Amino acid sequence: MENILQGFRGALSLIFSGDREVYSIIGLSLSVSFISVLISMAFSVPAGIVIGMKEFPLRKTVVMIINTLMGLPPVIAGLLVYLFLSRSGPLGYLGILHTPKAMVIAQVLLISPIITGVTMAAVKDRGTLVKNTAYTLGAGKLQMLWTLIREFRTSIGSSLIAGYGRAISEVGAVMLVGGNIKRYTRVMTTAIVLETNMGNFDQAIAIGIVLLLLFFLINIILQKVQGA
Amino acid sequence: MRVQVLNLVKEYDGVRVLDIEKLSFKEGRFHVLMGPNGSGKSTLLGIIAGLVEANTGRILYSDRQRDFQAVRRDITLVMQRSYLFNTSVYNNIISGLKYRGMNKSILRERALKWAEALDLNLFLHRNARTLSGGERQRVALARALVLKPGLLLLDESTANLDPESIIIIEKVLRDFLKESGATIIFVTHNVFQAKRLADRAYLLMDGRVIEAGESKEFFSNPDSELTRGFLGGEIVY
Repeated sequence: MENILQGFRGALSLIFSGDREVYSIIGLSLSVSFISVLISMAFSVPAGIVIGMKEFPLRKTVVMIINTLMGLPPVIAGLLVYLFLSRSGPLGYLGILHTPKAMVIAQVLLISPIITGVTMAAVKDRGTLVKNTAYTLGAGKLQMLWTLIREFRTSIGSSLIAGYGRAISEVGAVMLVGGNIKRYTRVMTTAIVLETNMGNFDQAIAIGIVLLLLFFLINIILQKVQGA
Repeated sequence: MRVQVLNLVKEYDGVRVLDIEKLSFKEGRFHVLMGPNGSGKSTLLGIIAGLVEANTGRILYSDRQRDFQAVRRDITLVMQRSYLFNTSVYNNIISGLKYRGMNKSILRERALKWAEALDLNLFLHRNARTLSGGERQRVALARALVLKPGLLLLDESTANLDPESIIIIEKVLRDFLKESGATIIFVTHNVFQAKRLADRAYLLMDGRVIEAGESKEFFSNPDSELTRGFLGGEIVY
């Protein structure tokens, strides 16, 4: 028990003293996950709208695949990206394995099905009605897309926040493709694993507290968005 | 805008729901389509509005026989349960004008004109989703009228509304027709309302036009036995 309390005291001191190491890890976590969400949003939201509203051959199969991928284990996403980016892989020539870029790719792979799936479910019932309304008012294709995004902003916003939560909390994929390199690819989750293994509980707890607070904040935002 | 329907056929899963050889709607007139449920009225309106694709046939718009894309922004449709965007009444009313990139002063001028005509002035800043059914339909109509459409399609737009809203909407539609010289095609189940509004009336059954005629003739001396039955309330819809 004393160890745990000591860990908490050390953690608070690290947080409030502005420890460079801790804050660089937090900063990298936030930025990698943010970029992943931005990239994923750019194609997952339109894809969710199209799949949710259009009838096309094999639609049911596509929906089933997306639903399955929503629960994709992070290590599998990491493994896939690793295999493609490793030196002998088809994209090995890019030389981006064990860099933040590889981490972003893995996270995009992980969260895109979530954003697509939630958007798809949101537009399924009322999407056509919104689209037809915009169409009869003279909207062009891009204007219709923007109207749909605006009308389903609550659900889409929720999917983005859920995606961000998933990205920032996962450990398996970023560990595999990022390599947990100090001050380069070390993020909060991988740092917690490492520091715990090394017995540096105060550092692990400090990052854990920040991660927990961040989740609390994400949940507050999610509730606000859903209640909007 | 004059509209001509030629050899139009629409089938859903092999079932023919619309089969019209020739039908025309002249500009400056109030056309009322009647018919029982499933007679093809809404499908016809959907095809004219470009929302539904016909299996065969053509729709010609205006005397210059232009195709749909050339006139798309001159046509608008008000549905029975109109979808209102999740924003203020004012923003709903101006949404079509914004799609057209109109400047703010025109937006405001037109929105206020029709908001006043449809008695919506007090609601302009309220979220449109909080309004009653009648108020919502008036917003949907204002949103259509600000566009000054050459062809206004109304699909049972006053069904199940309160009498006050119906009176307001009917008056505004008559005033709009007088002022704009547009073409109005109005679908209704209500024979009394059809009598009040129609310059020309049509009866559709099983996807076919049973009778079409000038209002006076149509209601007082219909040719078809089916029309007489429909107007006399013998055909239950």
